[in-house]
Amino acid sequence: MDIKEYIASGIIADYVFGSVSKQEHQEVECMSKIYPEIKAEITLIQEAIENMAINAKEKPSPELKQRVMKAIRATQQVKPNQNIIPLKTTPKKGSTKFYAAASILVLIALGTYTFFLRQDFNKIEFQNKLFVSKNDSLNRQLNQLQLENNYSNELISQLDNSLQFVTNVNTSRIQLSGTANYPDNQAEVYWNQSTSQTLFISKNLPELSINESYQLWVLIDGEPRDMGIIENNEAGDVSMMKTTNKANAFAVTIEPKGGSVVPTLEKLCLIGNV
Amino acid sequence: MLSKTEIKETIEAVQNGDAAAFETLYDAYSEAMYGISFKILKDRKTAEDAVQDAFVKIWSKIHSFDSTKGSFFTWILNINRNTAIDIYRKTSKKTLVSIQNESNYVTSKLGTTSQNTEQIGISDLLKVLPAQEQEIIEYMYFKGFTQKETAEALNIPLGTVKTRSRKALKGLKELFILLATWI
Repeated sequence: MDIKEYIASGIIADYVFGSVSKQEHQEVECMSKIYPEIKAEITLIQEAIENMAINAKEKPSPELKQRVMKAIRATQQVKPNQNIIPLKTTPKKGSTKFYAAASILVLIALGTYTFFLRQDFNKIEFQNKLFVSKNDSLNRQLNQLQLENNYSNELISQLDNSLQFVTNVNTSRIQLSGTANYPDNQAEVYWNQSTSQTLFISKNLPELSINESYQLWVLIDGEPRDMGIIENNEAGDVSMMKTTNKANAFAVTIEPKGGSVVPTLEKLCLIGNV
Repeated sequence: MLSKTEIKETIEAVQNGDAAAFETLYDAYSEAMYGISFKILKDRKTAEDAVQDAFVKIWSKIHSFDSTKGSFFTWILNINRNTAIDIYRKTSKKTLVSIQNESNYVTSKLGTTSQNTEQIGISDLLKVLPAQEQEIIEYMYFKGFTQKETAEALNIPLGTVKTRSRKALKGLKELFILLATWI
């Protein structure tokens, strides 16, 4: 991406004035962490506005102060854990409660799913017994069912593993949003800071031509590092990526088949801050 | 204006629910907030109501202020401006319906910058900028238009709006730096 062009697009002024969409807001925020030029432009505009406001000073009527003080004394403050959804890893006041609530929800959801799988499993086992008591011709079917049982068991243990990974206190969920050129793209990264494990979940990644691949990058202090090719990009596909013990942001680019050493910024299609 | 340490201490006190500390914020920022609100709303009473609303929001949302995203003054000014613009939009919708007639429409289409900005005291504030750049800041900052809407309203290409707004903002910053060194 050409930073000069991005700045000249005027999006920064709209961002500072608060007239951008949520998606654009997140995009500018991410970009400002990666590119110091963008951060500088934001500061320039903020300072211009601050200066203008100082110059615009005018005295309101003296009664206003009493009115304001009365109004705020009658107003409850919004406490940090009431309205904020923490997506960051840095522990903040109140985030423990959020994680606890989220973990319980995930546990209930996965627990219910596992319960149904176990029920299926029990049914199959019961049927197996019936088959055994019948004749040999059914033995082949029995084997088949046994295989399915194994598969169910494997699925259960995989789910248990995923559940442990996702609910681990050191695992953070990073929402990746599409950039201006790819506004509908969506994905999530689950990253565990202590084990360095990184999981990529595709939400909406359009099919690429056979000569292209999606590639995940981690940004550490403004430097991109390869996190591997995303092989499965259908919605809901989960890919285990390379490991990293540090991350400021994750980004996805479209690269020639097999990936590149350096990200092609023009084809930056997803980005999300840690 | 408050020093950085004073701002930090005051915010912490206000976050602990200290209403007396909030008076410090009122004293430091109410004049700038009122000045901007008045220029957006062009009416003393409405502008004071807007400032009051903005202060209530600042009080109740004080925990969501994030110093990594910009200064406290910028945060306050954004809340203040957005509150005033919301009120401006609500009231101008009503007046537009009731007062819009052909002559009005023609005036607003042809309306020169000097007339429009004079009326609300913005030209004084921005007088060092070329008229065309004043107009852009007026639409984008004081009327809350996006760059695209500004281009449509002024009937000029979007590219021109982008170049002019950047020039204007740069100009504003440099100008006030100059002023600060003179005073």
